[in-house]
Amino acid sequence: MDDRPVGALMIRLRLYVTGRTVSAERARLALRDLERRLAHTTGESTIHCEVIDVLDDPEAAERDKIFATPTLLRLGPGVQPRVFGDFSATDKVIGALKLDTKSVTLAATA
Amino acid sequence: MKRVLVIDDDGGVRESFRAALEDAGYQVSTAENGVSGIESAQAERPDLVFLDLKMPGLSGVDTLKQLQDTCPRTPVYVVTGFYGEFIAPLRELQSRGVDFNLARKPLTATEIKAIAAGRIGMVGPLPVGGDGWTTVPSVHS
Repeated sequence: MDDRPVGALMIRLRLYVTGRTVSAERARLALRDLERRLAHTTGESTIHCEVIDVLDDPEAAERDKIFATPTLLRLGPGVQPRVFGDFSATDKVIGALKLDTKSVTLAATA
Repeated sequence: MKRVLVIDDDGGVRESFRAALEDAGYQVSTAENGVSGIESAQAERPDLVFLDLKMPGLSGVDTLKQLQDTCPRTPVYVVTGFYGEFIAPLRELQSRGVDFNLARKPLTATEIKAIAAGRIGMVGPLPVGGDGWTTVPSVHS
């Protein structure tokens, strides 16, 4: 059963990493922090995150046109915003992926 | 000044990286094989290394192992196709704790600058990507 609030937008994030290196673990942690923060503002049921290891699934990286790891992208129709770089800068990541409350609310009510 | 070392046996690739990175304000050194790359890394202590895997002589995989031993804190981007013969040895390296990230060949100048900015911070202007991507520069370099 879908327990999302009526009109809520599902946010789907996909993180590409290389294995379980120190860098990859740092990116995974940053994604968890981001997920917690988004859950606080939009509700847990609206967020779905997945992590893809390029060493396990290089085809997925090719399909999503990933040029380097770690890359975090927001899935959806049209151009999918993606971020490369320092994911610990949560506010900047939220802005770059258009995950700020205003953008998400506008998208949900469009 | 942030230093970047590029290790690649292809002279054209080395110069493409040099042009992109110097344009962004990084100091660049290059090496045409693994042995000279390791010597450069030991002498110059770069802030970032781009490493080609497919090189004659000391292989890219063995070069990466030695870079990890000599400069364990220096981030390394392995530049390769995401497919093929290197997946298994790369998986073996990362299972042994060797820290690296992957970049897909070929890279554009903007992508090269984005990797440097994202990993070791910006020197010049923020690289602007197409296809909806944004670089968040590192503040931890």
